[in-house]
Amino acid sequence: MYIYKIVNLIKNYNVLNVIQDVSLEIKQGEMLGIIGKSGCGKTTLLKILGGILKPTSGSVFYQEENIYQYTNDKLEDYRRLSVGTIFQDYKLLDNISIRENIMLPAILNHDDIDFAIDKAEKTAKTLGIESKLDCYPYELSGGEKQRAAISRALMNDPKVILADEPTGNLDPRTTMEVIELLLEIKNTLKKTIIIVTHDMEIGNYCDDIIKMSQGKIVTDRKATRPLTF
Amino acid sequence: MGGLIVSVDSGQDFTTKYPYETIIYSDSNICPQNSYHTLLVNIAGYGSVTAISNDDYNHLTKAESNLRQGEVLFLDEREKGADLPLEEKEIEVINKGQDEKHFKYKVKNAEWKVIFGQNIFQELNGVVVFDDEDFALLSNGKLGVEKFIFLSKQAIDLDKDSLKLSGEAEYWNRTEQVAKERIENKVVITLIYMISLILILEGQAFIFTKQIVNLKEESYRYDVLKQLGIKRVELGKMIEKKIKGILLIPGVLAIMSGIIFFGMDIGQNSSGITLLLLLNYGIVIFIFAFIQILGCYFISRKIKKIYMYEF
Repeated sequence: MYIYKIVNLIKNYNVLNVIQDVSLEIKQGEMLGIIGKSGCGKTTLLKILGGILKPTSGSVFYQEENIYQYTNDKLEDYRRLSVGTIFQDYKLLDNISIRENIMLPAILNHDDIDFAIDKAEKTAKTLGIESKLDCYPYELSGGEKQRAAISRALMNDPKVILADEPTGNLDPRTTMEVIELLLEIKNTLKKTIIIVTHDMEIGNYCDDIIKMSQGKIVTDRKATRPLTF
Repeated sequence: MGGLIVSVDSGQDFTTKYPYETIIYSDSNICPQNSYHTLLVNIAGYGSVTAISNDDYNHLTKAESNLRQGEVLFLDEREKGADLPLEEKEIEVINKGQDEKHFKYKVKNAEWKVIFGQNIFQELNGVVVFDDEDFALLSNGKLGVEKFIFLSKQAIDLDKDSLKLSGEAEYWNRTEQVAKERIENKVVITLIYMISLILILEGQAFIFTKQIVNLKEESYRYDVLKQLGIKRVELGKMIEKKIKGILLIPGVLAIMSGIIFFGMDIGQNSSGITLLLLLNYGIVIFIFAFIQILGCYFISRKIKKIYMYEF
């Protein structure tokens, strides 16, 4: 069963063709790695999947609905409830505590505040950062910050986790911890995880990988089928 | 600035400022019925002032002043300023003949008072009222230059040229003066308006620039919230709230200065709060508030557009 179906996706920035006619299907519950060098269009693809960046043309079907034909309200709901995003630079807000950072998606969803606090604490405990809840982002190590960011991504219980170079700023040991954590989330919480990375090693932990170059999908390492739709 | 505009525009009571329509200050008596005999005397430390008799003073002002010999009233016709320095003091009238002589008089009272008109001629800025006998002595002793002031409440039919005044004579007309002052006031008001507009636009440009400079820092926060699924409306309100706080500061300052100027106007204006004064304030406040709000609206729209790109 496919959670995403991308059809003839094109994204241009003026004369620059960042995504060139990409078609792709992503299975529900899989961990997909999108691998490629800087500037190959992988982050742009992730942003389009996250409902942040409108494609120039083409369609992105999420559970058989084209997200770019959603109304503004529905697209906002999609961003808030269906996907959780993790970034290389964590994107935690420095002026609020880790607890509040994790709670943000629930706050934006206008959830009951006690429910949000309770859920943030439970999620933080699962990810092993419960002792850091009252700290501010600048007091945490890179690994801890990424755990906080993952906790935040899980806050509204989305079906999909989009990870943009989640280990890009981490040392090898912490990188492995984060990858193991994502695998655990995939296995126990049954989330679909899409990781964008330039690190080929991470591809070994993914169920499937695609390689991008100059805005196109060039190889599909694990799947034997050709990438045509 | 708004307050200043109203201050310039209001308080122009031309009847009090200029009680006569026509005044001629001359060496010769052109019309005995309406002229007053005066002397241009030199007072030590003060310069030339106009001396009049107590009788003429009472006639002119409808006052019942009583002066004894050796006593004078000192009146300053200029715009009211700091306290007069001559009260309860002596003045010395100087006779610059072959032998310079000084005649001392006690100042019974000194005040700011318009008799002929405010700042009409320099010689009339200071007026000294002498006891009738003292005035006669001064006049007979040629202790001053003899002058005549013709005063008329109405416009006289004859124009300045046809009066055949001597070369020394000075002619003054209220209608001309008022017209001139009104033009001057309009120029001043226009200038203040322009300066105010420049200040408002500069202030708004400063705020706009500051917002652009802060864009990187702020856009990071908004970017995170966007990716976490904040609603467009909520983000718009958040940005608006932030901008509004900054944009309101000039407005608050304007209201405060407006209140100060309004208070000053009330203090200076003997007729108190008039409907016209309130109306003036209302119009000025409306114009500036409109400009301010319009500017805020455009800045807010532009900043929101920048922050909310690709939303």
